[in-house]
Amino acid sequence: MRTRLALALGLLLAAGAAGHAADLDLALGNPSRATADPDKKTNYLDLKKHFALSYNNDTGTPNWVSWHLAKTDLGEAPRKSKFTTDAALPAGFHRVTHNDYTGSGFDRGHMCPHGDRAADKEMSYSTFLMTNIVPQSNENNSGAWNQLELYGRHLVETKGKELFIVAGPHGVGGEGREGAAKSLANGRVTVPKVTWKVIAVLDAGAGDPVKRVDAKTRLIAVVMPNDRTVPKNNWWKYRVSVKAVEELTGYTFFDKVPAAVIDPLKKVADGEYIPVLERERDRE
Amino acid sequence: MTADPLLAKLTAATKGLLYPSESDAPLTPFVWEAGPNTAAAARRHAGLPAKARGKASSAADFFEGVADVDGFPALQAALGELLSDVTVYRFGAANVSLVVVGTAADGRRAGFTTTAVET
Repeated sequence: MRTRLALALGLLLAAGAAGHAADLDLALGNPSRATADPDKKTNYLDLKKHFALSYNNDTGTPNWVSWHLAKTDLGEAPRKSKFTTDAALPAGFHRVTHNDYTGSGFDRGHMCPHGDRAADKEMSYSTFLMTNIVPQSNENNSGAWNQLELYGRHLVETKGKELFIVAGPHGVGGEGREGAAKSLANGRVTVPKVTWKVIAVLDAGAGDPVKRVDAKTRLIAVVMPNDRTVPKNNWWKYRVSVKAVEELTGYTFFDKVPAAVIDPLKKVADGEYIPVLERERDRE
Repeated sequence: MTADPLLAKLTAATKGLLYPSESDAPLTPFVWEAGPNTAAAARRHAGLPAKARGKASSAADFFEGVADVDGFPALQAALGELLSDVTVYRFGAANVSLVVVGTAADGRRAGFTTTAVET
């Protein structure tokens, strides 16, 4: 009996020490009920140390990547130039490489961005794993999509917020520098038609985040075309309701929060005024 | 192909290489006349907008990031033989212009330009 108690305590401590991913990156829900079953190759749950994802072996991309963003994640850690093949995928999965995107006309678009995991080199480098990447048009990736990423970090850095973020690709067929395409790497990687992101904005704090979501919690959702029409800024024009992203993707977001609390929030698109950030002006 | 032996050596050293980032970009070698090795000079020679602010960093940092990429360690060695005081100037954000420039034995500035997508 005592041994069992000690074992249970040890497991609890080990789970706590495992750090980032397990406890917070999926704290508000698992959008596609993904499981770590290697036979489920189109909805394979992969709990990375610094983010969580559902991988789809048919599209060669994540279905979604989910992560928690707090001030302690921010910093100036270096980037990795060449992206890393994810050797941790189970046997039987195709492993997408950096070179699969070379010359395709599409960027290697991070879902969990480098800037959201920049406190140290190890976490920064982890975002350069190819399982965190989808083919994004340069206009989408470096334009409004990037502006929303900067806005999220602005909320965390200067507005006392912490964010629960889920992002992914949807649909087939985009347009990049080399023209329209449905796939890369001889069909191994699907080019999505859009990219989407949903964010729950909480006041930075301690305690179970599920219990800190209330009727005033702000949700932000966007759907952006994966083509050359996306501008450098004005990401806010792509805002939709979380419910609209659920209807598009078939996923359910933040479902650990009681429906009575979260469902009304999901029906409304964010309408807050979005300031032009200093860092946006810098890039003009 | 080219009469200038320095440019010929840089062309050979950069040939076929792609600088990896969220996109991949070719390297364009250059030789400029003698002058100060500054961000303003690099911006002007590279034809970048006058308002683009440049940030300088070391060649060591640049090459550390591509230490695992075929061809780049050899390029670093070649630059080390041809140029001194190699500096990397970065202009812009998200779509970044890079100017890698040092000073040749005859005083001229030389190196290569490329781009990186960093979001």
